[in-house]
Amino acid sequence: MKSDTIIVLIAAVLASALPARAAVILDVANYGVDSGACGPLSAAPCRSISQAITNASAGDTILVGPGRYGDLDGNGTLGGTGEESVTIGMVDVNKAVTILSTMGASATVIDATGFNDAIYTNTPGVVIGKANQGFTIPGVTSFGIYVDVAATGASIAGNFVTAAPSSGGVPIYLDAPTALARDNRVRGDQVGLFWGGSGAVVERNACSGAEFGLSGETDGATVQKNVLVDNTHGGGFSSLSTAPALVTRNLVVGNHRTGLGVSDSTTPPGLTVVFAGNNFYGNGDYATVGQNCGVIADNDDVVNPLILNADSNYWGDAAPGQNPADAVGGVCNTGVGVQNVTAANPAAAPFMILLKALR
Amino acid sequence: MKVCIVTRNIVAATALLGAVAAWNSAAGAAKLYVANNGFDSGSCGPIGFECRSITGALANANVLGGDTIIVGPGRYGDIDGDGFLGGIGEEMSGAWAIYVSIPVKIVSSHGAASTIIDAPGSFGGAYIESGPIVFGKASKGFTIVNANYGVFVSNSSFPKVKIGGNVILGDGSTFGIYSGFDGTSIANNRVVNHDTGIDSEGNGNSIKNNVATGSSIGIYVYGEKVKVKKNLTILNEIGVYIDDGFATTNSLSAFSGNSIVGNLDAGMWIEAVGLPSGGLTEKLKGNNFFGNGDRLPGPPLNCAIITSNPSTEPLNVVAQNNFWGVAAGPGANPAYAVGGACNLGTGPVTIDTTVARPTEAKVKAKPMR
Repeated sequence: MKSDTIIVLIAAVLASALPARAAVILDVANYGVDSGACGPLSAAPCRSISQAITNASAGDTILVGPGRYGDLDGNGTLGGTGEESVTIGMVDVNKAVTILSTMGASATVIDATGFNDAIYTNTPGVVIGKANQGFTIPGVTSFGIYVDVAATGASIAGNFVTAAPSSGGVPIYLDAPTALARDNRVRGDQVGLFWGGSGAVVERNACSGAEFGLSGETDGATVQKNVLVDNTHGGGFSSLSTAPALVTRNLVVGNHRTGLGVSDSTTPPGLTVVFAGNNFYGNGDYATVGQNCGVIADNDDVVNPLILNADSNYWGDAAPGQNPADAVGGVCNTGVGVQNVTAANPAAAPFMILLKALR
Repeated sequence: MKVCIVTRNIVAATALLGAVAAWNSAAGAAKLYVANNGFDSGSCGPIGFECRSITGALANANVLGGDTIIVGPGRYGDIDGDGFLGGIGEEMSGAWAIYVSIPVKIVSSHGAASTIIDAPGSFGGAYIESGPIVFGKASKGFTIVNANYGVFVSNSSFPKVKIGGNVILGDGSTFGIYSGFDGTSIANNRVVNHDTGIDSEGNGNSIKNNVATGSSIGIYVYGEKVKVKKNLTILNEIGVYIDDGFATTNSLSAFSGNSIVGNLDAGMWIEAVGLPSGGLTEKLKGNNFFGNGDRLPGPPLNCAIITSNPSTEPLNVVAQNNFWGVAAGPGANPAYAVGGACNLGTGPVTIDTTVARPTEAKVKAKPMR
């Protein structure tokens, strides 16, 4: 055995014998200065979130102070002094870290105007924001926060993300399994909040101003206590192979064409989707296309029926129907296949669904 | 079945009459409800008979004042999306979605994120021309989109107008909240992406706990004895613009607890055209000024405050107990500067920053729904 190999083995043994490194908190501030040592309590804060990520290890927490981050000098390129880096996203979260603001979304802006993804991660276990400790990402033209399929269990919360009008921008895009989106405010263009991984939890978000406020393409999602208002379509589920786990206590009101829908071109045999305990009213008022539909079923599979159980929701009146109620079934079944839709036991009064107050 | 329907209608009609009677009997203190599943009529407003539009509820409110209009979640304004107002269930009064000319309180039940007023681009959001009036309050406000002016408080002699808890989203050329009204309270609002986020041109106004972001000017103050407290301005070209033009006394009676951070060209701009004999003294205390003026080319870089005094009278700024990015006070990066290159005028200017706050102050913006 060569001596250098022995040294490596000894080092490995010693390393395994050492206690686990304690998680570190790194600070970022508008008055910080980037360096290879910035961030920890013993040093000055970093100026950029990207530098703090470089200096962090998995399990660390990065606390971001109030102010503006991104293309600081506004010259259209990144990488200048104190600016975020340019890789896949303006802020590339490539370690399993928690990134929180200290003063909340309204005080902490990631200015990604003119760039692609403001925040990108492909790392499992990443946390970006929580209630009252999130970020504002204004005017995105691509993706505000993009969670890649590899980032299992990522948590995105407490953020306020808007897309530029007519940009096709998507404020929050979750492609990872078991991802969480909670307490976010999104004003979208194409889609406000998208999930494409199985077992997603989407709750207490407010989505407005998009073609689809919410859109999910995968199985087993829990979608609850969201507010969907002023979208073309409040939200939709599509390409399901198994049903959502739970769709309840959502407030789906004032969307231009439809409230909440299920759309499939290849429907698995026996697929049963349940919406229960939601509010559907004030949807479909657009003059040229409105059909007053609170819930829409769109099954283009001519072999297997789509079973949609919309029992026990509030429809704006004693039962679903025409104004002031929202409709379900009838003209709200739009696919060429069979849609078996029920809306029994309508609630007599709206369910109280209040969003959490956020900074 | 027919009997059942008739009976049900009689019961409903009786309930409506009873509700209307109860509502009218409580003179000056009625609550009128508005909902996305309501209908406008000459008697809408009681629970179970909600109006569809805020305008419909205003028409049924007591002109002598005291009523409260409670607006449910959903979308109001141009509800058929044709770019115009005035259709069935839509808002409209002249060039405004909502025209408030009687003393009344208008609040949402679920907060701004759940309650959206869509005023097409050639229309304004809400026009206030009376008092006392409340238009939204903390966690009970409105989101106003697409309006050329979000909320416009006209220049008249009515007192006690309060604008609160609203989110007003613009397109960069719009105005969030304008008040040419004396004594207006503007609190807990968020104004985003305007020409001017909050434009206060009345005397004795109070601007408190607001967030102004993404605008050419976050907060503009023209008037006398204005209180500006605990606001957050961020991502504007200029965070706060104090216009001392032709003032006879100080524009500010208080400027404290604000966070002026991350604005592109400068944190604050004090413009002093035509100062009175003896000049003016503006006092700024207990604020954060950092992260401002990083954008190129812009005015001089790194300015927390730009002063511009073209007059011959002195402009005095007493700016103590503020945080400038480092404990030592204003200066070069990572601190933020005042005076020197940040003083653009030819007239006399003094800036007293002899006492600096050593650490940043907590941002005071309140959580909102």
